[in-house]
Amino acid sequence: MKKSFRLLAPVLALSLAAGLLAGCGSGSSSSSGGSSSGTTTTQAAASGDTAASTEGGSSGKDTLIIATANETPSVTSNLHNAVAGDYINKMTYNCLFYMDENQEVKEDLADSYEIASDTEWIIHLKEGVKFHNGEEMTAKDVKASLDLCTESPQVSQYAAGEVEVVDDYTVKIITDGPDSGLLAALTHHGNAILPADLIESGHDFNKEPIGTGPYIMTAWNKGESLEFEAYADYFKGEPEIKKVTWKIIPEGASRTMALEAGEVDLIVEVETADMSRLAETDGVTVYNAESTSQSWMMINNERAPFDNIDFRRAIASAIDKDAIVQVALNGGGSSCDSMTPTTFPGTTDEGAPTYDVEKAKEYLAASGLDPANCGFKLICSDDRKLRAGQVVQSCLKENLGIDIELESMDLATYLDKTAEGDYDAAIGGYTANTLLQYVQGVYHSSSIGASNKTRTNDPEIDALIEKAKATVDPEENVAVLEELSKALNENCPQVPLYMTNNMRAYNSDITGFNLNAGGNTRYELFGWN
Amino acid sequence: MTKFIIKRLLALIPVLIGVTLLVFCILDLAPGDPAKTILGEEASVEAIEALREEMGLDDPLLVRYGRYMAGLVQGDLGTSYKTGDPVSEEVWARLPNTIVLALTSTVVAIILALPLGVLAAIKQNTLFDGISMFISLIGISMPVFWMGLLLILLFAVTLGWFPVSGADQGIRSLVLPSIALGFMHMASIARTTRSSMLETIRQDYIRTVRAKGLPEREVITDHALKNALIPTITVIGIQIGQMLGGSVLTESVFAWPGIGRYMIQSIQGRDIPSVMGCIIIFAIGFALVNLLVDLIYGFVDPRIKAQYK
Repeated sequence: MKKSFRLLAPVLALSLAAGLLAGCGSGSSSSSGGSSSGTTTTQAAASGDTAASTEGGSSGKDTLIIATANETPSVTSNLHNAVAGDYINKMTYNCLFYMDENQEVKEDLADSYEIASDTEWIIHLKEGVKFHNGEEMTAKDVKASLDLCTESPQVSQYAAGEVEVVDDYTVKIITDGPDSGLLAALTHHGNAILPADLIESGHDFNKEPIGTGPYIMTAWNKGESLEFEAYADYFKGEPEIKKVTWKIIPEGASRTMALEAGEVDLIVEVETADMSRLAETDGVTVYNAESTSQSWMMINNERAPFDNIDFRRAIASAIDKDAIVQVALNGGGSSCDSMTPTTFPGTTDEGAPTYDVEKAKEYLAASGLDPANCGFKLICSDDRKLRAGQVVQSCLKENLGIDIELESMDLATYLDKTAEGDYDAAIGGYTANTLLQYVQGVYHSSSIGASNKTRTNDPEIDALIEKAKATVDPEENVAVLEELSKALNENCPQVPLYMTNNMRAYNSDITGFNLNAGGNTRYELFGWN
Repeated sequence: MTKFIIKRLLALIPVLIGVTLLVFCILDLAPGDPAKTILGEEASVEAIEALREEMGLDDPLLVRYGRYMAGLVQGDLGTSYKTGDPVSEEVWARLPNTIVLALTSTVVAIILALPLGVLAAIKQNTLFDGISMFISLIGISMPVFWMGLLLILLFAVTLGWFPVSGADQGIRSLVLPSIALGFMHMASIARTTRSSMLETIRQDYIRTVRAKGLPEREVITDHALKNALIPTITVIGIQIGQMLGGSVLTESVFAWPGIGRYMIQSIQGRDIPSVMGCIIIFAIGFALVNLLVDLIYGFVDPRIKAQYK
């Protein structure tokens, strides 16, 4: 690439020199008129940003420009369940609790909590917390916000339960049966705390997201960027960085070049192919560590041959997962054998099939099936999944003599077909904040028709999930989850492939960088060297 | 003339009805469910059902189409499934960017292509002809995203003259995307101009003009070029029309907030109201550009103007 570019550069420069001048001169009149009509606010605000950012890593800098691939569909916390939107919501809102760097639940707007009974939680709120509009946050705001989450289909799976106002700074949450996952659910952006009177008056939170968070959204230039300003009265102290811009750059190579040129300070979605180059770039720090996001080859357990447990174990043992990590992720991840993400406490590898060709052949013999009749179609809904699918295809052919067909499909079709159970196999994944959320979504029979795409319907597993939910004591809870994890491994409802890494690349002068396995960053802790 | 324009504008109505019905049906028949796409992999059964009901997806196709058209005639483009904001707002936020990029890259293309095409025709079969047609061959065959990345690498990263991406620095932001897109369109305009010029130069009236002793420059600009322009204008018109629908690859590489990427994302998300909004704008834009092209024909060639009644 570099060499060919050197050869091409003079040719390009020559052929374009004329066009460059022409473009500047004649285009000026029409362009200045047009673009200013569309984005007046942007130009005014952003020119200040770039002036500061071109100074480089000098001290006293107080702006941060973040490059991201995806624009959030909405900044209204209860009307989306998008990762891109979660990033933005965490800028302007707080929840009662948050996930810290070690993926543990900590108090945020809550001051403390006590468990009154199996189903009753008393939560004491911090006093003197002010919303962006100057009003103080009290228990009625918490009730209105948690109720809003319950009513909104986009986030209702994180609903807390019934909420009662005890006094101005205390609420009681009554759950539907014991629920060890309550606090984790309360960290989800669907449970962000908004002012009760604005919820009631039908305020447009998509235009003006008023919360208690460290930043106030000042502009959303659709398709282009979102701009934020530090909130001076933030209850944990005003953030050091005064202006943050989230810039939407869909193309991976363009994001990398923007960081290299110093135009942005942090990339959220780093191209795996660019990782090593960025790591060698002066002034750029690369972060690459395990996440909670797991991908598997999901298989439809209701269809033959996947209804045969020995067959499921045979294919799980026949696939070289390390090769998939190399081919599909370019090394940006790790292989995994357990049916649940390895980053959660409670997950065990015990009983899970590992890559072992001899074992695979034994399992296939035990299944009593003829490999020639066991071909199936594997849905791959993007480029990375297709690369993983090609490794699966060659492993199954070489090791077991099973012919599979790869089927490319767009995301919307894939989501529909897999949720309805109208498929053989597909490569997919699931991201959750806790193991409990994960197993409820992926393996509980009540999620069939939606996120339980393997259509696993096993009373023993359902019972263990419910037991884990009802076991509030943390130590006992982990013990139940381990038992569940083992039972899932033995049942082998699908073929786990890999855990993707969380990757970020950022200007080395940034201080206070933080990122937990769930992918959450608290930008209010950032500063400049 | 006015009557001609009004007639053409009225002809837009059946076109729009046809386009909307077709797109609505195709999106509805396509596999995939807007509710499941919005909720993603982690969706629960209750949430999918509740959202489908909220968005009115359980009604029959014709009811939904009727409801949409009833809104449309009142100037309401509907509400995006995905963002919950009015589609008109989403479209207007992006349309000016698209129009600006389409116009500037057309200007770049014309300024490069016309001299290149005319000179190549005059100096047919010389080295200059070969080089200029080679350049336009590069323009046609080089994918625009690759061209874009090379431009960014040279002019933004190495030289630092222009920003890498975005549309927030006025004209400076506009230069590289316009060149990348303009270079691609330059190629076909130059080739059309060349072949049309070659044909015109061989006409009898050109020989007559030359025989009258007019200077070669006047022969080319006043007599040959004007007559050779009709096919070129047609090509330019079609290209502008296409660019008004957005230039997805260019927009992606340069993070240009235009309508093309928005439309693609809406299609992927089965966001029917947003797709319809884009298509309607696209159809109207194309029709208007076509009308404009027809009117320009009249100015270039008075014989055509005489037919506009």
